[in-house]
Amino acid sequence: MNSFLQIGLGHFVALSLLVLAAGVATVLTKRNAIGILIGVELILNAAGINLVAFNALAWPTSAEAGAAVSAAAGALGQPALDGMVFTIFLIVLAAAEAAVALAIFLNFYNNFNSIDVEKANAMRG
Amino acid sequence: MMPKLPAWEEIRLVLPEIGLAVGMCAVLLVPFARRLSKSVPAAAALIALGLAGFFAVDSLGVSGRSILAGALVIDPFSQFFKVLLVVFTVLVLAQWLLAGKDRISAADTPDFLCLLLGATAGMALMASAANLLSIVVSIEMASLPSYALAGMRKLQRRGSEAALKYVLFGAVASALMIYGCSLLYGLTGSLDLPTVANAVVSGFSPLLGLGVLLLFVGLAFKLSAVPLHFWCPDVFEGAPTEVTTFLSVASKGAAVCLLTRILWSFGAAAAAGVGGERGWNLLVGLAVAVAALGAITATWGNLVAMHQTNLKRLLAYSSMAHAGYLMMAVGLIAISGPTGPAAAKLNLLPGHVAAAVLFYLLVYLFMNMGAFTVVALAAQQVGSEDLRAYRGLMAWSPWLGVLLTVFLLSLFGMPGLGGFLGKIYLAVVMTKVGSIGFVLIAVLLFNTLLSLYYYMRPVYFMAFAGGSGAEDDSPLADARGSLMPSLPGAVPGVGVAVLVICALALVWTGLGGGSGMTKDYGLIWSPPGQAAAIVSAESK
Repeated sequence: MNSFLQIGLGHFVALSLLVLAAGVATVLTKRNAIGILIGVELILNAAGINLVAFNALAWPTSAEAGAAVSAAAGALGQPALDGMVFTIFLIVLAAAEAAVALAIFLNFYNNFNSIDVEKANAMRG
Repeated sequence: MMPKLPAWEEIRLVLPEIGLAVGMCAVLLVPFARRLSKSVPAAAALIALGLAGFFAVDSLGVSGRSILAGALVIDPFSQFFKVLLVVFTVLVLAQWLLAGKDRISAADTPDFLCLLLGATAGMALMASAANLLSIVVSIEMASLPSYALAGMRKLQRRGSEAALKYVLFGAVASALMIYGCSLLYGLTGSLDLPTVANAVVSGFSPLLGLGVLLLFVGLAFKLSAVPLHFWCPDVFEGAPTEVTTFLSVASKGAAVCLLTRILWSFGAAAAAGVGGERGWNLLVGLAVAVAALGAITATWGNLVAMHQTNLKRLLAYSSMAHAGYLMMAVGLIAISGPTGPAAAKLNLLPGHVAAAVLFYLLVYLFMNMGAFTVVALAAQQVGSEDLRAYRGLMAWSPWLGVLLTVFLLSLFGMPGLGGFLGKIYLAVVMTKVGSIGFVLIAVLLFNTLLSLYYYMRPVYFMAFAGGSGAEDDSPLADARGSLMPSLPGAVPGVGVAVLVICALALVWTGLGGGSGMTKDYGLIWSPPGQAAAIVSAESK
């Protein structure tokens, strides 16, 4: 669609895939619980990049009218903010998840003196 | 096209969830007035649940509506599940009041109740979610409180280990699911599930496939389906018993409902002829994949359950097996529908699947509730959940032993008890799809036979191992003097009530009670843009 140097949707999707790959790699290789949480946040932000970029560049107006009820949000041709709204929810969800996860890590540390996930091996089978 | 409903009409339909949310706030405010009280917050939570239950029953008659700009669907299927969920949560509260005194300290009571109500609200929303955003938000709303609930006993190493495993697995699974949703949105331009389903069925591409796959990763985590099941036994073992009870039924039930709705929106697209023959073949593949995953999950759960020595862990694997049975039937909803391609004339209607799922959940609720309540009562007395600790239970408290036997037999599928009819209804769904269905029925039968072994092991220990002889060295023997001599005397009245309700419900459903009700409410709605009908199981 655009020339290579012009920033377009492809660049954002490539960035998002890169961040996703970094996140998945972090999740798979880290043994520190907070490290894994950072990987999760990377994956979430990759999704956020996707959502915002697709909304701004691919779907700036509401999609085909086949959408049964989302038409309530606006007729064809009016600006649609689905992706942006999703991203705002995503940021809030990520914050809530980090709060719960860190509280659990802290409690784990109190009991095990470590947040190495390999220490969590009392239950097996 | 749906006419836009007046705002109050829409809000009236989400009053069950609003009631639960108000209850969350109320239980957190109680400590300002009554510090360290346990009964006042519990009463507030019960009132909130009562209100939610009342509003859910009130909206049972709504025949299928999309509200809040398509974010939620209110249909008899979702509302019936919400009624079940509220009844179940009330029973969990009763179990907690009865056995949880030493498990969760008084200072943590409001937190516990707030998290419990929050998770319940999230699960209620999961049954109604019909848009990628509401799916993500409801799953997270159900998950985040569950992570904290699993680690409610803060000083217990097992509890905090369970919570750590749960939160890490859950966070990764849900992050991948959200990435999948972002792909689906990017490629279809809509968050609306029916629109997304239409786009996937009509123009399948590898990237769309990746999006759908990642969406199912999140669901498979909630269902503890096989590649993503590792958290389940550890969390169920490490969490307080009332939390385990709650998660085993409510969390999996809500995930099954959501899976049903998602698969049906794909199925409705194909049934309406979107994508033609190719779309239909795609859906057959999807249905077979989900059913096969269910079969693998059930078999794995049953095989591993065989050598468990901890009763809670055993029941965790058993809950995996039951989720697997449900997935085997639910997968088939993707190829149901009144107007499938002529090449594939199936008798299966979405209403059949929905009714079978609701009936199974109705029965599963009571049998798991009963079994875990016995575990909680016995563990409270002997301080152990190990199978060997149950030696001589039958002699020590015949009532408790007999009731546990009834619950386990129902979980196995003994004719005459609810569990049997539940499995029969799942099998009836499977018979309607030809050869795939017969393979699934064979798997179901094989698994039921496998499960007999481990369901009867606790009974063996209770009734035969060690017995009541003097050589008995089980913890029960030491404690026997101080223990309840017979059930009604020493088990608190609430416990008796919970157990009796569960046992009676199993006998009632075993005689076919509730099956008419679930048929009436097993109506799953699809928007006008897709396959036309709301189809009752009875209309066929």
